[in-house]
Amino acid sequence: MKGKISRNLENILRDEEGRRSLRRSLIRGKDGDITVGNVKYHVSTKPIDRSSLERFVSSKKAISSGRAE
Amino acid sequence: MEFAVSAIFLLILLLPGFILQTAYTKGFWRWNSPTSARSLTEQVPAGIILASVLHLAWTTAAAVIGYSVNLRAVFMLLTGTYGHDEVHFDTALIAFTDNPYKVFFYFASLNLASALIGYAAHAAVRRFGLDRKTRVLRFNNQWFYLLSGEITQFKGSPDIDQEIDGVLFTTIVHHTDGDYLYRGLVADFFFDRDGSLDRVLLTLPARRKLADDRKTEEIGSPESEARYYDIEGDYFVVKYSEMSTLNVDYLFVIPEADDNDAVVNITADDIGRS
Repeated sequence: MKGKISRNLENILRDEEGRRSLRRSLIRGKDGDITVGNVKYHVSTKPIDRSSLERFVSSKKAISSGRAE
Repeated sequence: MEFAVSAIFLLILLLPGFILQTAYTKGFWRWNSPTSARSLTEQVPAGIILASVLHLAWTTAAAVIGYSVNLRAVFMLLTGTYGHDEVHFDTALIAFTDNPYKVFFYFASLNLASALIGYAAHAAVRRFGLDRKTRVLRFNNQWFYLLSGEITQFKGSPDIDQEIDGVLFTTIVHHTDGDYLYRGLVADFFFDRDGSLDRVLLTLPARRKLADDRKTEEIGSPESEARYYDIEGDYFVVKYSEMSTLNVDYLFVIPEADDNDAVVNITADDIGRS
């Protein structure tokens, strides 16, 4: 299929509750958090800038290596 | 008659150039669409140049392995001139009729090589995203770039560090009882024979009456959700001919995890994509 559906989005779409939450979020026209299994996804129509993404990634790295702030 | 022979021969000579162009512009079936093809006025000059280069390479290769191409015979057949009283007609004809297998192999291998070069070039351009970076290499398929979200990676597009995760498609369709707004995630899209967008396949579709527009204070509220109703089924097809306007929103999905293992995996993925 030619449409762009990433692995993260596919994970949400495969889950019944995830689909419902995503639908709600898209219809409300607002960013939303969707939990599938033990993973929480933040869905937005606005791109996250590089510095925010790097901050997010480094904070998660710190948590995973036991250096939580 | 002579003119017809020359025309057919010219077509055979130019065929590798056209085959290479078609293979390059259309690529593989996955994103194949007629819009990738250029107009005839663009194809003919490019075809002549490409065919000349290919023939030059092939005749050189043939000479290297000990088979020289009779260029004099080729020129005579091409122009339809065989000297006074057509004294050289037999010479030109014999050059082909005496070596039918060699002539066949020459053209068959050249046409095959042209197709392979075209497909390989297409695959390389798509694989390394060169069409997104360079305007000259961009395929004439704007709907594909828009609906797949690749347009965000064009030089000159607003700087987005992330790759998009999905495409939210919204369109208005006219019904007898009023206009309806359809919304869903783009799963696939198809083109008609002329290369125009024909239909869009949506997943997670929902619709509402256009007249039920939300008020400013309703943004993000449950009331705004109540205006829509789900459309049952896995995929919903919207025909382009029935759309009056359309809007495209690109979705970004950032995973956050509770357990450490998931964090490590997701982090690596995010770094790769950023």
